[in-house]
Parts: sequence; structure tokens; C-alpha cells
Amino acid sequence: MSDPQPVLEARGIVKRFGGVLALRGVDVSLNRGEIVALVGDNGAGKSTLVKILCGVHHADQGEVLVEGRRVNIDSPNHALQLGISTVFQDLALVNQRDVANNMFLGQEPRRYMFLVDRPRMVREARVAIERLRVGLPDVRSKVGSLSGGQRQAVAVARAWLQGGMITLFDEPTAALGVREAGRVMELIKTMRAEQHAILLISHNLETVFDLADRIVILRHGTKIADLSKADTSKQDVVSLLTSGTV
Amino acid sequence: MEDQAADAVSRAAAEARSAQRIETIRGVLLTRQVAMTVVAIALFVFFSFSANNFATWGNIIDIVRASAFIGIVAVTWTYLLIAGELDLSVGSVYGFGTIIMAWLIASGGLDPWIAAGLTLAFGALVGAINGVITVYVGVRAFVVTLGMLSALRGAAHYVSGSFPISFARGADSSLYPLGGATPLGIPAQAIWFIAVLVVGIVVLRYTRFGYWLFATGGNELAARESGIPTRRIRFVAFVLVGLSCGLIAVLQAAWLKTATPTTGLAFELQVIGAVLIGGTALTGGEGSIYGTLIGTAILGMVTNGLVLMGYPPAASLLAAGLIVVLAGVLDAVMRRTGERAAQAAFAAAAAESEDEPPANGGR
Repeated sequence: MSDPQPVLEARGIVKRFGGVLALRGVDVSLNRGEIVALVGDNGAGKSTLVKILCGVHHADQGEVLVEGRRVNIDSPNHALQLGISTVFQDLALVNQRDVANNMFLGQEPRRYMFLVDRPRMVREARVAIERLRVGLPDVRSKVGSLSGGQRQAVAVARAWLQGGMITLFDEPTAALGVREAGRVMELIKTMRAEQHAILLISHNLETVFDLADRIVILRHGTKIADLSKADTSKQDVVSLLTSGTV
Repeated sequence: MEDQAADAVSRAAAEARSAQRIETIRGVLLTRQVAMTVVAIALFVFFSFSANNFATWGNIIDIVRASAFIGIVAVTWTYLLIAGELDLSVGSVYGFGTIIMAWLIASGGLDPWIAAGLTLAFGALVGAINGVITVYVGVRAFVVTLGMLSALRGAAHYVSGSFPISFARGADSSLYPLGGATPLGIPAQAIWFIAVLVVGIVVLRYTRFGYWLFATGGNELAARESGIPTRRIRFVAFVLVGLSCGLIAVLQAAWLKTATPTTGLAFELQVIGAVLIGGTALTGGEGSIYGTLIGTAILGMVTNGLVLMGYPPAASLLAAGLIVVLAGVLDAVMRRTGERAAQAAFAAAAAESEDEPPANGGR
């Protein structure tokens, strides 16, 4: 067992949108306690790959394995059951609802058969805020009244609360100021320390080099490189991104 | 180390500012519900002094009886609007429902209980058709339900030949007291209304379905990405509206033992008026059954009070319409003040730190 089995593995993923081939047979694997950055130009297929892994889109060809078992992820709920949580670029928050509700959106705990366990939601939301050490106001404040960084923190805390060991991040720092982005990056590192397997999409190479253990580069729907951060440099990644070669 | 301490301080400061912000926003929301309640009480006091016999037990019972059906459908309509949809066809579903019920008993010779079951099923079916065409085919609810409003009114006239259908001479049925009894002096309609209110509040506030209605109307994409079956939620909300129309059709027919094809004309205006006066957002994602109850009460009191003051029924229609417009204006003004207060709070916070502005203007 010197080479542990990946927690999440995608093999030969192909996805078409009408006549456009968005992914042309992409392989990606994720290990426990590892952050893999997925980089590539606009239209390279990063978001498409993430949306396939979290059940929003379905692959036309290829297979996905969770803990070595072949799975057919057919919905966001199914992905959650398999332990795959996603922090979407749009954050998937409902502004009119409060922080506690948003942290459990779609997964509200129940008691007495069919009633939502609101006290438990409030309690666990507070625990998440404390554990992840995020600066959030009261869990009963509406998400629409929060700043960009606070909203991002709510979305990350939700992924953490869902309890899965695989978390996908789509541009987690894109909309944030320097200071808030820093806080979110700390959150992601906290999750890695807790042995989460993390797939991260980012345009920001600073973020990528700060966080990632491994860097996967997509170009026109094909994986052109899978590098350990230690073995590469920003210049190499930039030239791979722009010209496809080092 | 120093960094951490500074971070903790700025975090505490941010928390304090956010708390203040929340108070502002909560204050606005509170004002909205309190304001409508105050208006309702003021109207009650006003009519008590200026309309003869307004504040008598008998008249209050009359108001409740006249408002109960509007209220019942307004509850399910609130659900639908929270989920971000609307249904203009309710008056015709109600009207045609009573015709179907009467026709099944008078011409079809069916047992009233079976006729009632079929009428309920009819209501749910119309809701399902509205739902399928809107949610799954993708036609705007406004178009679908406007068409249904006209089509079912036409059907009611067609089936009845534009004449009332009576089954008063038929055998009595154990069903009829459900619509017409007055146990302890309380009309059956009021009891049904209270039951629907209680169930409506519990389901909306305390069940996943209720939570998911809010999420669907608030941000459908977010809800879907979070695993909420948003299409099914919207579909079910349509069915519930249809079902509630079926219910009041049964109760109305059971009470009068007659159905007229004009039953429920302009009913949709009263239902929508009650929901809007109650403060449910036209944009979806926000609303309450309590607000809808207050809205129903305000419309009911105005309609009744103006008649008691000696104005012709047309005055009630006029006043009800103006109140709906007024409620809309009030809503817009309060929303804008709320947004401005939130933005001011953010500006103040931003001046102190480099915090980001709210993503959507703090709605």
C-alpha cells in the first residue's frame, strides 16, 4: 500500500455540447489530503469536468471511480451521497434565507418524521463557523446582507458540513479582495489538513501555487500536463497554458 | 502572532458591524408585518365607529364566511408565489368546479361524496396541467393560466347552458354539513379556513417542502445545484393551488346545493390582492402565511364595511383595487428604503475596512 488508491478518479471523460467537444477523454485523480489545481484557458473544459463530477452534467463517455468503485453520478444529491461536495462559482446561495439555512440548503436535517430540525441547523452552523474560524455574523442573518468573502465562507462551510471527503472548488477566490481571498485559502488548507481530497479550479496562478500539491493543465478539452508543484514553475505553467508546450 | 491578534480584532469589528447591518434589515422586515397588522386594526376601529353593526358578532362571522374561500386559495397561492410562479385561473377553476359538482349530482346521479372526490380531482388536474405546461414545457405561467382562466369559464357556461344547476331537491347527504353547518355558531367555511391556515403555516415554516419553496423562488439555480428538485417543487405548488380551488368548489356547492356558472368571477383579483397586501414578494423567495391572513382580513373588512356604510357594492370593488395598488407602492417604497439602509451600512463598513460590498445590493 505504498501507492494509495485515489479517492476520486475520472478516466477518459468525454463531453459534447451539441457539435462542440468540450472534453476529449480526460483523466484526473485525487488523493486524500491533497489539493489538485485544475488550470486552463477559458473554454478548456475545467468547469465542465467539475460539473460532471458533481452530478450537474453527465459524461458522454468515460468512467468515474470513488474509492476504486465505479459510480454513475446522476444528480447533485447522488454526488453528495458519494461524499463529493461542491463549492460552485456562483456559490449556490439563496440571498433571502439566513446563514444556517444556506449551510443546509437542500439537505435540511429532520426530526419528528417530517419537520425540519431548525435548532440542530443553527447549532451545527455555529460549530462549523467556529471550527473553520470564519468571521461570520449571527447564523440567523440573511445571506444577502453579507460581504463577498462572508458569502464564500458560507459556501465553504456548507461543503465542510456535508461531511464528504471530496470537495470541488470552482474559482473560490475570483470575486474576492486580497484579504478575503487569503481567508478562504486558509479554509481550504484547513480542509486539506483534515484529509479532504480537493479539486480546485482557479485562474489565479498565485492561488494555485500557494495551495496546490499537483497541477493539472487542460487545453481545448485535453489534459496536456499533470505536474507536481515541486517539479514545476510558474513560467512553465504559463507557457503550457498559452502555447501547449514548455 | 501579531497578525493573528490583529485578525481577531478586525474580525470582531466586522462581526459588530454585520450585527448592526442585520438589525437594520430585520427592522425593515419587522416594520412591514407590523405595519400591515396596524393597518388592519386601524380599519377595524374605523369601521366599528363609522359603519352600523360592523363590530357585531354576527357581522364578523359574515366577514369571515365571505373571506374564507379567498383566504383558503390565498394560502396555496402564497406558496406558488414564494416558489416564483403565479396562477390567474383560480376563479374559473372554482367556478367550473362548482358546476362539475352540481352536474355530477343533478344529471349524473352520483353520490355527493363521489362527486366531491371527482371535483377535488378536477381541481388538482387543472393545477397539474398548468404545472406541466409551465414547468416542464416552459411556457410562462402568465400565458398558460390566463388561457385557462378563459377556457374554464367558457366550459362552465357550456356545460351549464349558462343557467344555474340545482340539486336542492335531491336526497340529503352527510357531505352537505361540511359546507353549510355552523357548529357553535361558527360557519364551516371559517373552520376550513383555519385548518388550511394552520396546515399552511406548519408546512411552509417547518417542513423541507416549505424550505424548498423559498429556495426555489429565491434562487432556482442555487436550489438545483444543492440537490433540490426545483421543477417538482413548482409543479406541486401548482397542483396545491388547483386542489384548493377544488376544495372551495365542493364546499360552495355543498352549502348552496346550487351552482352558477358565474361563481368565482374576479375571484383571482381578490386572491392575488390578499397575497400582495400580505407582503409576499412578486419576485419569489419571500412571503408569509400570516401576511396573507392579514391581507385577506383587510380586503374582507373593506368590502363589508363600505357596504354597511351605505356605499354600493361597486365602491368595494373600487376600494379593493386601490388598496392592492397601494400595497404594491408601499412594498416598493419599503424595499427601496431597506436596500438603501443596507447599502448605507455597507458604505459605512467599507469606509472603515476593505470589506467587499454585498453581491446584490443587500436585497
